Amino acid sequence: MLSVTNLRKTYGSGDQAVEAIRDMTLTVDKGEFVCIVGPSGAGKTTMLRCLCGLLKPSSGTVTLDGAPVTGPPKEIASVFQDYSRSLMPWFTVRRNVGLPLRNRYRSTADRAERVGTALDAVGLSGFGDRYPWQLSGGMQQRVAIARGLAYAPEILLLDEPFASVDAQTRADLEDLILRVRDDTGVTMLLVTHDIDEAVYLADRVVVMSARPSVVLETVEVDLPRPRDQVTTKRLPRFAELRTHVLTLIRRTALDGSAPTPDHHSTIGERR
Amino acid sequence: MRPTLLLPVLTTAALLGSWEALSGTGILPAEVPPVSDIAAWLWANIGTAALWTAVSQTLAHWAVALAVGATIGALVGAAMASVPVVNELLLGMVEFFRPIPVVVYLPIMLLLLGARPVVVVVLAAVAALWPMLLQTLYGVRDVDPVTTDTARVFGLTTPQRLVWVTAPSMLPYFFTGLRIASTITLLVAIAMELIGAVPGLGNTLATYAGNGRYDATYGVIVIAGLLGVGLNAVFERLERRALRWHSAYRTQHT
Ligand SMILES: Nc1ncnc2c1ncn2[C@@H]1O[C@H](COP(=O)(O)OP(=O)(O)O)[C@@H](O)[C@H]1O
Ligand SMILES: [Mg+2]
Repeated sequence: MLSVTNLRKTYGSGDQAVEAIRDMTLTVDKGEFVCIVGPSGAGKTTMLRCLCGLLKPSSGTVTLDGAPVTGPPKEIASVFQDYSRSLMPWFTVRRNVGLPLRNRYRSTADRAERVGTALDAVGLSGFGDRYPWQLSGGMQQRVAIARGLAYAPEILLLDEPFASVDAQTRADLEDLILRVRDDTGVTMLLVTHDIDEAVYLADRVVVMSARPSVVLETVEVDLPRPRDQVTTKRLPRFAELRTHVLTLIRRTALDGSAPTPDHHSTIGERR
Repeated sequence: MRPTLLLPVLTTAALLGSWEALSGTGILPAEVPPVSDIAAWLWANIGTAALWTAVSQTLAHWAVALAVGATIGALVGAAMASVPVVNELLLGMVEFFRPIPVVVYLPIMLLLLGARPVVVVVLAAVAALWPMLLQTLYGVRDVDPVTTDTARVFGLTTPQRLVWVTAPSMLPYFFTGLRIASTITLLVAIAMELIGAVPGLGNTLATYAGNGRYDATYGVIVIAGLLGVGLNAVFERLERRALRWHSAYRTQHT
Protein backbone atom coordinates (compact mmCIF):
# COMPACT_ATOMS: atom_id res chain seq x y z
CA MET A 1 0.00 0.00 0.00
CA LEU A 2 1.28 3.39 -1.02
CA SER A 3 0.18 6.24 1.16
CA VAL A 4 0.70 9.96 1.03
CA THR A 5 -0.09 12.06 4.06
CA ASN A 6 -0.36 15.85 4.05
CA LEU A 7 2.16 16.16 1.25
CA ARG A 8 3.29 19.71 0.56
CA LYS A 9 5.86 20.81 -2.00
CA THR A 10 7.14 24.32 -2.54
CA TYR A 11 9.80 24.98 -5.15
CA GLY A 12 12.38 27.64 -4.42
CA SER A 13 12.17 30.10 -1.53
CA GLY A 14 11.47 33.72 -0.75
CA ASP A 15 9.99 35.80 -3.57
CA GLN A 16 10.50 33.08 -6.14
CA ALA A 17 8.77 30.37 -4.11
CA VAL A 18 6.19 28.38 -6.06
CA GLU A 19 3.78 26.40 -3.95
CA ALA A 20 3.02 23.48 -6.24
CA ILE A 21 1.21 21.21 -3.80
CA ARG A 22 -0.47 22.53 -0.69
CA ASP A 23 -1.95 19.43 0.89
CA MET A 24 -2.44 16.02 -0.66
CA THR A 25 -3.50 12.91 1.21
CA LEU A 26 -4.31 9.66 -0.55
CA THR A 27 -3.73 5.96 -0.42
CA VAL A 28 -3.41 3.42 -3.18
CA ASP A 29 -4.21 -0.16 -2.26
CA LYS A 30 -2.57 -3.20 -3.73
CA GLY A 31 -3.98 -4.06 -7.13
CA GLU A 32 -5.96 -0.84 -7.42
CA PHE A 33 -6.11 1.36 -10.50
CA VAL A 34 -6.09 4.96 -9.33
CA CYS A 35 -6.15 7.96 -11.65
CA ILE A 36 -5.17 11.42 -10.50
CA VAL A 37 -6.77 14.07 -12.63
CA GLY A 38 -6.02 17.77 -12.50
CA PRO A 39 -5.34 20.70 -14.79
CA SER A 40 -1.91 21.36 -16.34
CA GLY A 41 0.45 22.89 -13.82
CA ALA A 42 -1.52 21.48 -10.88
CA GLY A 43 1.52 19.65 -9.58
CA LYS A 44 0.74 16.17 -10.87
CA THR A 45 4.29 15.49 -12.03
CA THR A 46 5.63 16.96 -8.79
CA MET A 47 3.41 14.57 -6.88
CA LEU A 48 4.61 11.51 -8.82
CA ARG A 49 8.24 12.57 -8.41
CA CYS A 50 7.69 12.69 -4.65
CA LEU A 51 6.02 9.26 -4.73
CA CYS A 52 8.86 7.54 -6.56
CA GLY A 53 11.54 9.08 -4.37
CA LEU A 54 13.02 11.44 -6.95
CA LEU A 55 11.95 14.54 -5.06
CA LYS A 56 11.88 15.32 -1.36
CA PRO A 57 8.55 16.76 -0.20
CA SER A 58 8.68 20.07 1.70
CA SER A 59 6.57 18.41 4.36
CA GLY A 60 4.33 15.41 4.80
CA THR A 61 5.18 11.77 4.30
CA VAL A 62 5.18 9.15 1.61
CA THR A 63 5.21 5.55 2.79
CA LEU A 64 5.28 2.26 0.94
CA ASP A 65 3.92 -0.65 3.00
CA GLY A 66 4.58 1.42 6.10
CA ALA A 67 8.21 2.30 5.30
CA PRO A 68 9.05 5.92 4.45
CA VAL A 69 10.16 6.49 0.85
CA THR A 70 13.51 8.31 0.83
CA GLY A 71 14.90 7.25 -2.55
CA PRO A 72 13.59 5.35 -5.58
CA PRO A 73 12.13 2.09 -4.16
CA LYS A 74 12.63 -1.08 -6.15
CA GLU A 75 8.91 -1.83 -5.93
CA ILE A 76 8.04 1.18 -8.11
CA ALA A 77 8.53 1.68 -11.84
CA SER A 78 7.61 4.73 -13.89
CA VAL A 79 6.38 5.49 -17.37
CA PHE A 80 7.17 9.08 -18.22
CA GLN A 81 5.15 11.38 -20.43
CA ASP A 82 8.09 12.21 -22.63
CA TYR A 83 8.97 8.78 -24.04
CA SER A 84 11.48 10.17 -26.53
CA ARG A 85 13.60 11.56 -23.69
CA SER A 86 13.04 8.70 -21.30
CA LEU A 87 14.11 5.97 -23.72
CA MET A 88 17.82 5.99 -24.45
CA PRO A 89 18.42 6.55 -28.15
CA TRP A 90 21.86 4.92 -28.01
CA PHE A 91 20.40 1.55 -26.97
CA THR A 92 18.15 -0.81 -28.90
CA VAL A 93 14.63 -1.51 -27.71
CA ARG A 94 15.83 -4.76 -26.13
CA ARG A 95 18.61 -3.05 -24.19
CA ASN A 96 16.34 -0.24 -23.10
CA VAL A 97 13.87 -2.71 -21.66
CA GLY A 98 16.57 -4.92 -20.19
CA LEU A 99 18.74 -2.20 -18.70
CA PRO A 100 17.04 -1.97 -15.29
CA LEU A 101 17.13 -5.75 -14.95
CA ARG A 102 20.90 -5.90 -14.64
CA ASN A 103 20.79 -5.45 -10.91
CA ARG A 104 17.90 -7.84 -10.43
CA TYR A 105 18.64 -10.96 -12.40
CA ARG A 106 22.16 -12.27 -12.59
CA SER A 107 21.64 -14.62 -15.48
CA THR A 108 21.55 -13.26 -19.02
CA ALA A 109 19.00 -15.90 -20.00
CA ASP A 110 16.62 -14.81 -17.24
CA ARG A 111 16.91 -11.24 -18.33
CA ALA A 112 16.38 -12.08 -21.99
CA GLU A 113 13.29 -14.06 -21.08
CA ARG A 114 11.80 -11.24 -19.01
CA VAL A 115 12.49 -8.74 -21.78
CA GLY A 116 10.87 -11.08 -24.31
CA THR A 117 7.76 -11.52 -22.16
CA ALA A 118 7.43 -7.77 -21.62
CA LEU A 119 7.80 -7.01 -25.32
CA ASP A 120 5.20 -9.69 -26.10
CA ALA A 121 2.81 -8.15 -23.59
CA VAL A 122 2.90 -4.81 -25.42
CA GLY A 123 2.85 -6.40 -28.88
CA LEU A 124 6.40 -5.51 -29.89
CA SER A 125 8.01 -8.95 -30.09
CA GLY A 126 9.60 -8.33 -33.47
CA PHE A 127 11.10 -4.97 -32.59
CA GLY A 128 13.78 -5.77 -30.04
CA ASP A 129 16.67 -4.95 -32.33
CA ARG A 130 15.28 -1.63 -33.53
CA TYR A 131 16.27 1.66 -31.99
CA PRO A 132 13.49 3.63 -30.25
CA TRP A 133 13.77 6.48 -32.73
CA GLN A 134 12.97 4.09 -35.56
CA LEU A 135 9.52 3.52 -34.04
CA SER A 136 6.35 5.63 -33.99
CA GLY A 137 5.39 7.60 -30.88
CA GLY A 138 2.82 5.06 -29.78
CA MET A 139 5.31 2.21 -30.20
CA GLN A 140 7.94 4.12 -28.22
CA GLN A 141 5.49 4.57 -25.38
CA ARG A 142 4.79 0.83 -25.52
CA VAL A 143 8.53 0.21 -25.17
CA ALA A 144 8.50 2.41 -22.07
CA ILE A 145 5.54 0.44 -20.70
CA ALA A 146 7.38 -2.81 -21.44
CA ARG A 147 10.41 -1.49 -19.57
CA GLY A 148 8.20 -0.75 -16.58
CA LEU A 149 6.63 -4.21 -16.70
CA ALA A 150 9.91 -6.08 -17.13
CA TYR A 151 11.08 -4.47 -13.90
CA ALA A 152 8.27 -6.46 -12.21
CA PRO A 153 7.17 -3.61 -9.96
CA GLU A 154 4.36 -3.75 -7.44
CA ILE A 155 3.32 -0.28 -8.50
CA LEU A 156 3.53 1.30 -11.93
CA LEU A 157 3.38 5.10 -12.00
CA LEU A 158 2.34 6.65 -15.28
CA ASP A 159 2.69 10.39 -15.85
CA GLU A 160 0.33 11.52 -18.62
CA PRO A 161 1.59 8.57 -20.64
CA PHE A 162 -0.70 9.10 -23.62
CA ALA A 163 -0.72 12.88 -23.84
CA SER A 164 1.53 13.08 -26.88
CA VAL A 165 0.08 10.41 -29.15
CA ASP A 166 -2.87 10.61 -31.55
CA ALA A 167 -6.42 9.74 -30.45
CA GLN A 168 -6.58 6.26 -31.96
CA THR A 169 -3.18 5.24 -30.56
CA ARG A 170 -4.26 6.66 -27.26
CA ALA A 171 -7.36 4.49 -27.09
CA ASP A 172 -5.26 1.44 -28.01
CA LEU A 173 -2.73 2.22 -25.30
CA GLU A 174 -5.47 2.74 -22.70
CA ASP A 175 -6.82 -0.72 -23.50
CA LEU A 176 -3.30 -2.15 -23.46
CA ILE A 177 -2.81 -0.80 -19.94
CA LEU A 178 -6.11 -2.27 -18.78
CA ARG A 179 -5.19 -5.66 -20.22
CA VAL A 180 -1.75 -5.56 -18.62
CA ARG A 181 -3.35 -4.73 -15.29
CA ASP A 182 -5.68 -7.72 -15.59
CA ASP A 183 -2.83 -10.02 -16.58
CA THR A 184 -0.29 -8.96 -13.97
CA GLY A 185 -2.32 -7.49 -11.14
CA VAL A 186 0.16 -4.64 -10.85
CA THR A 187 -1.05 -1.57 -8.97
CA MET A 188 -1.49 1.37 -11.33
CA LEU A 189 -1.30 5.04 -10.49
CA LEU A 190 -1.92 7.09 -13.59
CA VAL A 191 -1.86 10.85 -13.80
CA THR A 192 -3.76 12.66 -16.53
CA HIS A 193 -5.47 15.93 -17.33
CA ASP A 194 -8.07 14.08 -19.39
CA ILE A 195 -11.26 13.40 -17.41
CA ASP A 196 -12.64 10.80 -19.86
CA GLU A 197 -9.41 8.87 -19.69
CA ALA A 198 -9.38 8.93 -15.90
CA VAL A 199 -12.98 7.73 -15.56
CA TYR A 200 -12.54 5.09 -18.27
CA LEU A 201 -9.46 3.54 -16.68
CA ALA A 202 -9.79 3.92 -12.94
CA ASP A 203 -11.26 2.17 -9.95
CA ARG A 204 -10.94 5.50 -8.21
CA VAL A 205 -10.36 9.02 -9.50
CA VAL A 206 -8.56 11.49 -7.28
CA VAL A 207 -9.50 14.99 -8.39
CA MET A 208 -6.84 17.60 -7.83
CA SER A 209 -7.45 21.34 -7.74
CA ALA A 210 -5.38 23.85 -9.66
CA ARG A 211 -2.13 25.02 -8.05
CA PRO A 212 -1.50 25.22 -5.08
CA SER A 213 -3.21 21.88 -5.22
CA VAL A 214 -5.33 19.97 -2.76
CA VAL A 215 -7.49 16.87 -3.19
CA LEU A 216 -10.96 18.08 -4.15
CA GLU A 217 -12.64 14.72 -3.94
CA THR A 218 -12.03 11.06 -4.48
CA VAL A 219 -14.61 9.58 -6.83
CA GLU A 220 -15.32 5.84 -6.80
CA VAL A 221 -15.79 4.57 -10.35
CA ASP A 222 -18.41 1.83 -10.21
CA LEU A 223 -18.39 1.05 -13.93
CA PRO A 224 -18.36 -2.65 -14.82
CA ARG A 225 -15.21 -4.36 -16.05
CA PRO A 226 -13.96 -5.34 -18.53
CA ARG A 227 -14.26 -1.86 -19.95
CA ASP A 228 -14.70 -1.08 -23.60
CA GLN A 229 -14.03 2.16 -25.45
CA VAL A 230 -17.47 2.15 -27.06
CA THR A 231 -19.86 0.42 -24.70
CA THR A 232 -18.42 1.74 -21.43
CA LYS A 233 -18.35 5.30 -22.66
CA ARG A 234 -21.98 5.00 -23.80
CA LEU A 235 -23.22 4.10 -20.31
CA PRO A 236 -25.27 6.81 -18.59
CA ARG A 237 -23.15 6.21 -15.48
CA PHE A 238 -20.00 7.11 -17.42
CA ALA A 239 -21.51 10.42 -18.47
CA GLU A 240 -22.64 11.06 -14.89
CA LEU A 241 -19.20 10.43 -13.46
CA ARG A 242 -17.37 12.51 -16.03
CA THR A 243 -19.82 15.38 -15.55
CA HIS A 244 -19.34 15.16 -11.81
CA VAL A 245 -15.55 15.34 -12.07
CA LEU A 246 -15.74 18.13 -14.63
CA THR A 247 -18.04 20.15 -12.40
CA LEU A 248 -15.67 19.73 -9.44
CA ILE A 249 -12.73 21.06 -11.38
CA ARG A 250 -14.67 23.90 -12.99
CA ARG A 251 -16.01 25.04 -9.65
CA THR A 252 -12.62 25.53 -7.97
CA ALA A 253 -11.34 27.26 -11.06
CA LEU A 254 -14.23 29.74 -10.86
CA ASP A 255 -14.06 30.07 -7.04
CA GLY A 256 -10.78 31.87 -7.41
CA SER A 257 -9.32 29.72 -4.65
CA ALA A 258 -7.05 28.24 -7.27
CA PRO A 259 -7.21 30.50 -10.28
CA THR A 260 -6.19 28.98 -13.60
CA PRO A 261 -8.50 30.56 -16.17
CA ASP A 262 -6.36 29.35 -19.06
CA HIS A 263 -6.40 25.74 -17.98
CA HIS A 264 -9.88 24.80 -16.94
CA SER A 265 -11.37 25.09 -20.39
CA THR A 266 -9.31 22.21 -21.70
CA ILE A 267 -10.34 19.86 -18.94
CA GLY A 268 -12.28 16.90 -20.13
CA GLU A 269 -11.79 17.68 -23.78
CA ARG A 270 -9.69 15.45 -25.96
CA ARG A 271 -7.04 17.24 -27.87
CA MET B 1 31.16 13.94 -60.28
CA ARG B 2 28.70 14.96 -57.58
CA PRO B 3 27.38 18.48 -58.15
CA THR B 4 28.41 19.44 -54.59
CA LEU B 5 32.03 18.69 -55.48
CA LEU B 6 31.97 20.40 -58.85
CA LEU B 7 31.91 24.01 -57.65
CA PRO B 8 34.76 23.79 -55.12
CA VAL B 9 36.90 21.97 -57.69
CA LEU B 10 36.15 24.67 -60.25
CA THR B 11 37.07 27.53 -57.91
CA THR B 12 40.27 25.78 -56.82
CA ALA B 13 41.29 25.13 -60.40
CA ALA B 14 40.55 28.75 -61.34
CA LEU B 15 42.59 30.05 -58.41
CA LEU B 16 45.61 27.83 -59.13
CA GLY B 17 45.35 28.61 -62.85
CA SER B 18 45.42 32.37 -62.34
CA TRP B 19 48.27 32.02 -59.81
CA GLU B 20 50.29 30.10 -62.40
CA ALA B 21 49.48 32.65 -65.10
CA LEU B 22 50.38 35.62 -62.89
CA SER B 23 53.74 34.17 -61.87
CA GLY B 24 54.75 34.21 -65.57
CA THR B 25 54.19 37.99 -65.75
CA GLY B 26 56.52 39.05 -62.95
CA ILE B 27 53.73 40.75 -61.01
CA LEU B 28 54.08 38.35 -58.07
CA PRO B 29 57.17 38.76 -55.82
CA ALA B 30 60.00 36.22 -56.02
CA GLU B 31 58.88 34.75 -52.68
CA VAL B 32 55.77 33.39 -54.42
CA PRO B 33 56.91 30.65 -56.80
CA PRO B 34 54.75 29.34 -59.68
CA VAL B 35 52.33 26.54 -58.79
CA SER B 36 54.19 24.25 -61.17
CA ASP B 37 57.42 24.69 -59.18
CA ILE B 38 55.66 23.77 -55.95
CA ALA B 39 54.09 20.72 -57.61
CA ALA B 40 57.47 19.71 -59.01
CA TRP B 41 59.10 19.96 -55.56
CA LEU B 42 56.31 17.90 -54.00
CA TRP B 43 56.64 15.29 -56.74
CA ALA B 44 60.41 15.05 -56.24
CA ASN B 45 60.28 15.00 -52.42
CA ILE B 46 57.12 13.12 -51.54
CA GLY B 47 59.09 9.89 -51.29
CA THR B 48 62.11 11.18 -49.38
CA ALA B 49 63.01 10.12 -45.86
CA ALA B 50 63.71 13.72 -44.79
CA LEU B 51 60.12 14.82 -45.45
CA TRP B 52 58.56 11.77 -43.83
CA THR B 53 60.80 12.06 -40.79
CA ALA B 54 59.54 15.60 -40.30
CA VAL B 55 55.93 14.49 -40.80
CA SER B 56 56.30 11.65 -38.32
CA GLN B 57 57.94 13.95 -35.74
CA THR B 58 55.07 16.40 -36.00
CA LEU B 59 52.51 13.58 -35.88
CA ALA B 60 54.18 12.18 -32.76
CA HIS B 61 54.04 15.60 -31.08
CA TRP B 62 50.40 15.90 -32.10
CA ALA B 63 49.43 12.43 -30.90
CA VAL B 64 51.06 12.61 -27.48
CA ALA B 65 49.90 16.17 -26.86
CA LEU B 66 46.33 15.39 -27.91
CA ALA B 67 46.18 12.22 -25.80
CA VAL B 68 47.52 13.93 -22.69
CA GLY B 69 45.73 17.26 -23.12
CA ALA B 70 42.37 15.79 -24.11
CA THR B 71 42.42 13.29 -21.26
CA ILE B 72 43.23 15.93 -18.64
CA GLY B 73 40.70 18.31 -20.16
CA ALA B 74 37.95 15.68 -20.21
CA LEU B 75 38.62 14.59 -16.63
CA VAL B 76 38.72 18.13 -15.26
CA GLY B 77 35.63 19.11 -17.29
CA ALA B 78 33.69 16.08 -16.05
CA ALA B 79 34.72 16.77 -12.46
CA MET B 80 33.68 20.42 -12.75
CA ALA B 81 30.33 19.45 -14.25
CA SER B 82 29.47 16.84 -11.65
CA VAL B 83 30.96 18.25 -8.42
CA PRO B 84 29.86 21.82 -7.66
CA VAL B 85 32.79 22.44 -5.30
CA VAL B 86 35.33 21.51 -7.96
CA ASN B 87 33.56 23.85 -10.34
CA GLU B 88 33.78 26.75 -7.89
CA LEU B 89 37.41 26.03 -7.12
CA LEU B 90 38.52 25.85 -10.74
CA LEU B 91 36.20 28.12 -12.68
CA GLY B 92 38.19 31.31 -11.98
CA MET B 93 41.44 29.66 -12.99
CA VAL B 94 39.95 28.28 -16.18
CA GLU B 95 38.55 31.68 -17.11
CA PHE B 96 41.95 33.25 -16.48
CA PHE B 97 44.25 30.80 -18.22
CA ARG B 98 42.08 29.74 -21.13
CA PRO B 99 42.41 32.92 -23.24
CA ILE B 100 46.21 33.07 -22.84
CA PRO B 101 47.88 31.94 -26.09
CA VAL B 102 50.25 29.12 -25.24
CA VAL B 103 53.09 30.68 -27.21
CA VAL B 104 53.76 33.07 -24.30
CA TYR B 105 55.07 30.15 -22.26
CA LEU B 106 57.54 29.18 -24.99
CA PRO B 107 60.51 31.33 -23.96
CA ILE B 108 60.39 30.08 -20.36
CA MET B 109 60.02 26.49 -21.52
CA LEU B 110 62.95 26.84 -23.89
CA LEU B 111 65.09 28.26 -21.09
CA LEU B 112 64.09 25.50 -18.72
CA LEU B 113 64.13 22.52 -21.05
CA GLY B 114 65.94 23.58 -24.25
CA ALA B 115 64.69 23.12 -27.82
CA ARG B 116 63.39 19.62 -27.22
CA PRO B 117 60.24 17.77 -28.36
CA VAL B 118 58.89 17.79 -24.81
CA VAL B 119 58.47 21.56 -25.02
CA VAL B 120 56.30 21.23 -28.12
CA VAL B 121 54.28 18.42 -26.57
CA VAL B 122 53.62 20.27 -23.31
CA LEU B 123 52.49 23.45 -25.01
CA ALA B 124 50.35 21.64 -27.58
CA ALA B 125 48.81 19.59 -24.77
CA VAL B 126 47.88 22.77 -22.89
CA ALA B 127 46.22 24.05 -26.07
CA ALA B 128 44.32 20.76 -26.50
CA LEU B 129 43.10 20.83 -22.92
CA TRP B 130 40.75 23.82 -23.14
CA PRO B 131 38.34 22.81 -25.89
CA MET B 132 38.10 19.35 -24.37
CA LEU B 133 37.48 20.75 -20.90
CA LEU B 134 34.71 23.05 -22.08
CA GLN B 135 32.97 20.50 -24.29
CA THR B 136 33.02 17.88 -21.53
CA LEU B 137 31.70 20.42 -19.06
CA TYR B 138 28.79 21.31 -21.37
CA GLY B 139 28.24 17.68 -22.34
CA VAL B 140 27.92 16.36 -18.80
CA ARG B 141 25.67 19.28 -17.83
CA ASP B 142 23.48 18.69 -20.87
CA VAL B 143 22.43 15.15 -19.95
CA ASP B 144 18.64 15.14 -20.24
CA PRO B 145 17.05 15.31 -16.76
CA VAL B 146 14.28 12.96 -17.89
CA THR B 147 16.90 10.36 -18.81
CA THR B 148 18.63 10.87 -15.46
CA ASP B 149 15.29 10.47 -13.65
CA THR B 150 14.63 7.29 -15.60
CA ALA B 151 18.00 5.86 -14.61
CA ARG B 152 17.36 6.69 -10.96
CA VAL B 153 13.82 5.33 -10.87
CA PHE B 154 15.05 2.04 -12.30
CA GLY B 155 17.74 1.80 -9.68
CA LEU B 156 20.88 2.12 -11.79
CA THR B 157 23.97 2.57 -9.64
CA THR B 158 26.22 5.59 -10.02
CA PRO B 159 28.84 3.74 -12.12
CA GLN B 160 26.08 2.29 -14.30
CA ARG B 161 24.62 5.73 -14.84
CA LEU B 162 28.04 7.04 -15.76
CA VAL B 163 28.63 4.35 -18.38
CA TRP B 164 25.11 3.88 -19.78
CA VAL B 165 23.70 7.38 -19.50
CA THR B 166 26.23 10.15 -19.00
CA ALA B 167 28.94 8.84 -21.32
CA PRO B 168 26.78 8.10 -24.37
CA SER B 169 24.75 11.24 -23.84
CA MET B 170 27.82 13.46 -23.86
CA LEU B 171 29.48 11.68 -26.79
CA PRO B 172 28.51 14.35 -29.36
CA TYR B 173 30.21 17.00 -27.23
CA PHE B 174 33.19 14.73 -26.72
CA PHE B 175 33.74 14.37 -30.46
CA THR B 176 33.31 18.06 -31.09
CA GLY B 177 35.91 18.74 -28.40
CA LEU B 178 38.23 16.14 -29.87
CA ARG B 179 38.03 17.59 -33.38
CA ILE B 180 38.65 21.14 -32.20
CA ALA B 181 41.46 19.97 -29.93
CA SER B 182 43.07 17.96 -32.72
CA THR B 183 43.11 20.94 -35.07
CA ILE B 184 44.50 23.28 -32.43
CA THR B 185 47.09 20.74 -31.30
CA LEU B 186 48.45 20.31 -34.82
CA LEU B 187 48.54 24.05 -35.31
CA VAL B 188 50.34 24.70 -32.02
CA ALA B 189 52.76 21.80 -32.54
CA ILE B 190 53.85 23.13 -35.93
CA ALA B 191 54.07 26.69 -34.64
CA MET B 192 56.19 25.70 -31.64
CA GLU B 193 58.50 23.60 -33.81
CA LEU B 194 58.85 26.60 -36.08
CA ILE B 195 59.57 29.19 -33.42
CA GLY B 196 61.47 26.94 -31.02
CA ALA B 197 63.55 25.16 -33.70
CA VAL B 198 62.37 21.74 -32.56
CA PRO B 199 62.61 19.06 -35.28
CA GLY B 200 59.35 18.56 -37.20
CA LEU B 201 57.39 20.09 -40.06
CA GLY B 202 57.50 23.55 -38.45
CA ASN B 203 61.24 23.54 -38.20
CA THR B 204 61.59 22.20 -41.74
CA LEU B 205 59.41 25.06 -42.91
CA ALA B 206 61.55 27.63 -41.08
CA THR B 207 64.76 26.20 -42.52
CA TYR B 208 63.51 26.24 -46.13
CA ALA B 209 62.11 29.75 -45.77
CA GLY B 210 65.34 31.01 -44.22
CA ASN B 211 67.35 29.60 -47.11
CA GLY B 212 65.11 31.10 -49.78
CA ARG B 213 63.80 27.70 -50.91
CA TYR B 214 60.32 29.00 -51.64
CA ASP B 215 59.11 26.03 -53.70
CA ALA B 216 59.99 23.75 -50.77
CA THR B 217 58.41 26.17 -48.24
CA TYR B 218 55.10 26.09 -50.08
CA GLY B 219 55.42 22.33 -50.55
CA VAL B 220 55.68 21.84 -46.79
CA ILE B 221 52.70 24.14 -46.26
CA VAL B 222 50.68 21.93 -48.61
CA ILE B 223 51.76 18.84 -46.65
CA ALA B 224 50.78 20.45 -43.35
CA GLY B 225 47.41 21.41 -44.82
CA LEU B 226 46.77 17.88 -46.08
CA LEU B 227 47.73 16.52 -42.69
CA GLY B 228 45.15 18.73 -40.99
CA VAL B 229 42.41 17.82 -43.46
CA GLY B 230 43.27 14.12 -43.20
CA LEU B 231 43.17 14.05 -39.39
CA ASN B 232 39.87 15.93 -39.39
CA ALA B 233 38.41 13.43 -41.84
CA VAL B 234 39.48 10.53 -39.61
CA PHE B 235 37.74 12.07 -36.61
CA GLU B 236 34.61 12.81 -38.59
CA ARG B 237 34.44 9.16 -39.64
CA LEU B 238 34.90 7.97 -36.07
CA GLU B 239 32.19 10.37 -34.95
CA ARG B 240 29.78 9.19 -37.61
CA ARG B 241 30.30 5.59 -36.56
CA ALA B 242 30.02 6.17 -32.83
CA LEU B 243 26.97 8.42 -33.14
CA ARG B 244 24.88 6.40 -35.55
CA TRP B 245 22.04 6.66 -33.04
CA HIS B 246 22.27 10.45 -32.77
CA SER B 247 19.64 12.56 -34.50
CA ALA B 248 22.28 14.20 -36.69
CA TYR B 249 23.38 10.88 -38.20
CA ARG B 250 20.25 8.73 -38.08
CA THR B 251 19.14 6.72 -41.06
CA GLN B 252 15.46 6.01 -40.75
CA HIS B 253 14.26 2.58 -41.79
CA THR B 254 10.81 1.23 -41.19
N1 LIG C 1 11.88 22.26 -10.71
C1 LIG C 1 10.95 23.21 -10.54
N2 LIG C 1 11.29 24.42 -10.05
C2 LIG C 1 10.35 25.38 -9.88
N3 LIG C 1 9.07 25.23 -10.17
C3 LIG C 1 8.65 24.05 -10.66
C4 LIG C 1 9.57 22.98 -10.88
N4 LIG C 1 8.89 21.93 -11.38
C5 LIG C 1 7.60 22.32 -11.47
N5 LIG C 1 7.45 23.59 -11.04
C6 LIG C 1 6.19 24.34 -10.95
O1 LIG C 1 5.31 23.62 -10.14
C7 LIG C 1 4.00 23.63 -10.68
C8 LIG C 1 3.51 22.23 -10.90
O2 LIG C 1 4.27 21.61 -11.93
P1 LIG C 1 4.04 20.12 -12.41
O3 LIG C 1 4.15 19.21 -11.25
O4 LIG C 1 4.95 19.85 -13.55
O5 LIG C 1 2.52 20.19 -12.90
P2 LIG C 1 1.70 19.19 -13.82
O6 LIG C 1 2.50 17.94 -13.99
O7 LIG C 1 0.41 18.99 -13.10
O8 LIG C 1 1.45 19.88 -15.12
C9 LIG C 1 4.07 24.45 -11.95
O9 LIG C 1 3.63 25.76 -11.66
C10 LIG C 1 5.52 24.44 -12.31
O10 LIG C 1 5.87 25.63 -12.96
MG1 LIG D 1 3.24 17.01 -15.76
